[in-house]
Amino acid sequence: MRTRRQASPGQKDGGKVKGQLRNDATAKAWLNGLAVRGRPWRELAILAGVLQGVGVIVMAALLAALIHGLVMDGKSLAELAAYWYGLPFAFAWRALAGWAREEAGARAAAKIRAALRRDLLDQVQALGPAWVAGQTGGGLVSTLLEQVDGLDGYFARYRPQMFIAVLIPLLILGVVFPQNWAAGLIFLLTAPLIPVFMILVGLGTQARQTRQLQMLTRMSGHFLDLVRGLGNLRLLDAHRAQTPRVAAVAEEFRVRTMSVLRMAFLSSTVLEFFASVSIAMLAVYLGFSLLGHLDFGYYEAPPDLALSFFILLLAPEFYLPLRELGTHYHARAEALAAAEQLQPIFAASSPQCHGGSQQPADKAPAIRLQRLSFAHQPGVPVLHELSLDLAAGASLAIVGNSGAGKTTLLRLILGELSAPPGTVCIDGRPLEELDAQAWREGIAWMSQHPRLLPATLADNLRLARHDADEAAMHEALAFAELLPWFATLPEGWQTRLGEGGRLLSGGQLRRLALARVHLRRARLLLLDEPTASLDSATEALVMAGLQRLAEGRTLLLLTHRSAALQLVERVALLDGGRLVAEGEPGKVKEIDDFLAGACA
Amino acid sequence: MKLDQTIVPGALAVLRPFLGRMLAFRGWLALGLLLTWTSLLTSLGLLGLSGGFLTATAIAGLSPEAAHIFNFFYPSAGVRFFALSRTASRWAERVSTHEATFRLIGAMRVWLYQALCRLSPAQTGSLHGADLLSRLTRDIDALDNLYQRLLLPSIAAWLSLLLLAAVFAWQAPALLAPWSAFVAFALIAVPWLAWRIGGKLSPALVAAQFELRRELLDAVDGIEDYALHAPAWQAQRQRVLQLDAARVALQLRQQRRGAALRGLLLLSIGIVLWAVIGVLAALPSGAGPDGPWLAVILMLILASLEIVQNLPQAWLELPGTVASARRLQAIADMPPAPAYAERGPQPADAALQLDGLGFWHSPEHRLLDDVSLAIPPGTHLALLGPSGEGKSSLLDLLARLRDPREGAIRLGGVALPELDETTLRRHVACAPQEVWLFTASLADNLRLANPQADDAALWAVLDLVGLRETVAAWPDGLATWVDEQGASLSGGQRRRLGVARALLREAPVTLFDEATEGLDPAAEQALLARVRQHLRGRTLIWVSHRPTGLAEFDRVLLLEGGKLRPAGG
Repeated sequence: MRTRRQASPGQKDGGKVKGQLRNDATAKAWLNGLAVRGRPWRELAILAGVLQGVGVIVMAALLAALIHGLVMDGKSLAELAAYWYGLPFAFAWRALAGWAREEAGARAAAKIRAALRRDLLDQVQALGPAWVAGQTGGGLVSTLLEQVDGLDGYFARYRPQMFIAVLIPLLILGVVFPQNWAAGLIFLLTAPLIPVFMILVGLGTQARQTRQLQMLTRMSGHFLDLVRGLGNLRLLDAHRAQTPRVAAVAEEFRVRTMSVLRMAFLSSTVLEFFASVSIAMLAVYLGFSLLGHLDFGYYEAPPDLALSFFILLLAPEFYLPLRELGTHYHARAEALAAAEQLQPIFAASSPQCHGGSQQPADKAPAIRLQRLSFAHQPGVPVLHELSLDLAAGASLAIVGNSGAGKTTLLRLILGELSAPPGTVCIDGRPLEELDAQAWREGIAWMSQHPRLLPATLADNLRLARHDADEAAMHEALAFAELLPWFATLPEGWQTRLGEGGRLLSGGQLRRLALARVHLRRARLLLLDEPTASLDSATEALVMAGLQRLAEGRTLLLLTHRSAALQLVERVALLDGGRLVAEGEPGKVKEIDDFLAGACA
Repeated sequence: MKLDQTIVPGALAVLRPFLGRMLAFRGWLALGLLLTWTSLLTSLGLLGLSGGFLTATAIAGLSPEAAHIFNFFYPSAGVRFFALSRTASRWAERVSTHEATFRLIGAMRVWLYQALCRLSPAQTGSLHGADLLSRLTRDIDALDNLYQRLLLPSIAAWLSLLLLAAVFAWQAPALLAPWSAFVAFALIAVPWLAWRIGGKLSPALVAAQFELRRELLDAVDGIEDYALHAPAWQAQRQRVLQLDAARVALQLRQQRRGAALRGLLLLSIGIVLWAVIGVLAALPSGAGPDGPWLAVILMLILASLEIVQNLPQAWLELPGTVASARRLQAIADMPPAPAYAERGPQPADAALQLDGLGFWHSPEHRLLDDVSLAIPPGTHLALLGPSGEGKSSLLDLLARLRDPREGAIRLGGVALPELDETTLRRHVACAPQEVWLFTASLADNLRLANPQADDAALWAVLDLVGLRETVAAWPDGLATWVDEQGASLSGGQRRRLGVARALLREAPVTLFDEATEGLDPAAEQALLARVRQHLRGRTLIWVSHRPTGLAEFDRVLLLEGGKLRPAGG
């Protein structure tokens, strides 16, 4: 198998690059907006960084004075005691400021991440099930978890460092220049290069990071793909034959990444080069001045050893913040990549019906669809001028092949998708005027794949009604004939179910779902293939339960099998988004033919 | 206390095989180490020589004669040499260590793939939960850090600091005491502390992350349920936010301790500078180093910070790396079940003989209970039964993805465990319930089943499974790229491709496990008819839970309560 990925057809390279740049710009603007939420820790991190720089300058001054005193003036340590004892304190100051800087940065990032994850969760809820269904489940979770975490290094280290990398060189320049203008000039001449360095480091590292990350993701993707499909490979006797492919993909990764890296490392090498060369230039200038071979650069007196040493000690510190910025640069690339995933979630417009303020009546609702058309994408209608009447307390089954538009219809009635105004009416009132949440609270929904939460039995039942007491839950279990099973549970309501707990058989899960439906204070039952792939005993039990629940409630059933039709008074056949036929079960030929085809 | 007694030796034992595997690249590893060390030494050299040079010139500058005869050529040339060689060796260091790392990554992945490859789907299937597989891939990356972030800098730091010790001993033996204390602190005490902190916090962090992921997954997967009931959503949201806050607090604690260790290192440099100055000043005049050497020594100590400052973080992460190594080794140590013979006999024909088969996951629920059956070559057999009653398990036994608890299966007179895997697969093909499509072209996905198949053969089989027109309508046809997990294909199309792959095997026995689930009934019947036509004269075993359209089969059996019996009777 090859691992090449094809660009989707029709996408021109130029367009892609431009799109990429635009994405980068919006991602940056979005990240800037987030940064504000890191206050005041972000400012404290920068302040601590500057204090660290002050500590460096003090340390350099003390050490230079000590060397000068010991070597040139021949003083004893007792005469230099202030400098000597001051030295460890200067280091302690530096260490403390450095610690504070990391702490403040980490707190800024933690604050931003926590707020962002909360907002994302709320946004996902606002976008609703129809939007979530369009995402891959695992992908969305890793966006919420890993991509948000991916912002950490950027806010904790990179952003404060951007300021520190400018402030500390300025600080050092401000100290050196009044002492010796030639040394200051050597710094100053390299100072305008700082933004150039930044860009150099940026371009090089970014290219490196994105390429390396892309390649690594691709290699991991290939590997995961193989391993996930290992069962299939084994049945085809192709699993062992893939070993050389794993090696070849890794080798390809190495060769291609290294060719990028060899060049990309040059950019940070340029920074190293300037730092090294300016240290060398300073050493030579200062040395020759001390020898008296050079006689410029000073104001009143030529530099002595104390000043020379002071300047020499500051030289590496002048470039250090920039080098650190370079090492944090990958955090920026990671954050931009994360922003590109996260920002569209906030930019997405909710497909849900926003609803109004009218409270739904506390009785079985009547549902009327009037010439309801709906399309997820323009030009590809899913439902076409659908009109249907479901009286209060009546029951209707909608049958049709998968893709006929049943799920969309269900989502429209739930308000998870927003129908054109006036096309969905509840008790004669347009759905969009109803309070959306109140409307949904009156609906019991049973899916063909009921979910088991990895939580206690009580939590699993309270998913349907939050404040259900034990009596209500007991009644629900009795209704679903789960009491004998419940009696075997050692920890009763607190028994953990699902992953890491007690697993349920398919049949037990359906009964649990039935118990949940019973717990709902529902006026409308929406059932989606309630009996698909069930054995006959469970099916009979579920059907009987639903039959009892349907009394006094409106019932809408989606299916493409005939078995569930005993629940309903009427059947409608949906095909290609149109209503093809409608009538009593067993009385309409098209429907019988469809069901016969389905059951033949 | 318990930590250092059990985990430290345990950790060495866990890492040893991986270190052994690294030795295969010892040339590259050694080069990386040499260059790392060189760049550290040039860095020390540049600063040390600059400081010494300045001091020497200052002393010479005191008298014009001395200044006149001062040989500035060698020191200033040396400074420039170190400046340039530092730049060059940094670059070479980065290139060589990355080169070594990528070679390691490749070897480790091959190793992991081979380890996983031996295991049966039932064994690897248990890895799918909780995203364990992607964790394994991250584990491999964590082991790469072992070299680049831990071993390499640690060894280079030892070499550099010991070399400095030699220099100091040469200049003034009295310096050895404070310097040894510093080396012991920076290279023994701090790593040990970091390792202990990491050992406590990293399992807690892993657990916190796991819980948060689980609750997030629940919030996202359960959105249909939560949309209907606002209070339940609020409760779930609150759970997620609480777990998130708890995890962030743990992360902050880890970061804070790492930062404290880095601060301690910096402080220790300050203290050792202070102590060294004190020791040197106390020496009788003429006994210690001269002025320039004093400057060199102080500069070298100052420059040592760069050598040790990244070590705490690497040691903090080591317990996590050890946990990674442990997970990986557990996979490698897992005995394959079933294990296959290296070379086995060839079956005489495609006759299948099932003798007294028993199979169960838990003994009180026997999925197969003393099942015996003879399937002569060419039989078309349909197998029905309620879901969860052992139909798929029986197919797993026939394809020998599992071994029966009791009894035996013979293919052409040979018991399945005697056959080597290639022979078995050549005789028994299977279209599984879960079809996996790889990120590759459609043709490549099909050719996995039969690498020799030409395009005509692929089109023929697509025609058979009813996909020819669909694929022909795609602009790239057979070369169409299948996205991640075949997301661009419908469930029905995936099933059909699974059938196509099984048919491409051209095996004497072909098994279909609910291969048409999710297809519309009419389409299902059409596909079944074509498959039966194609496999006429060869054995076909068709598993379904729908009892329809099976009239033409030679035998229709029902599996219920662990027993096989004729269906429809």
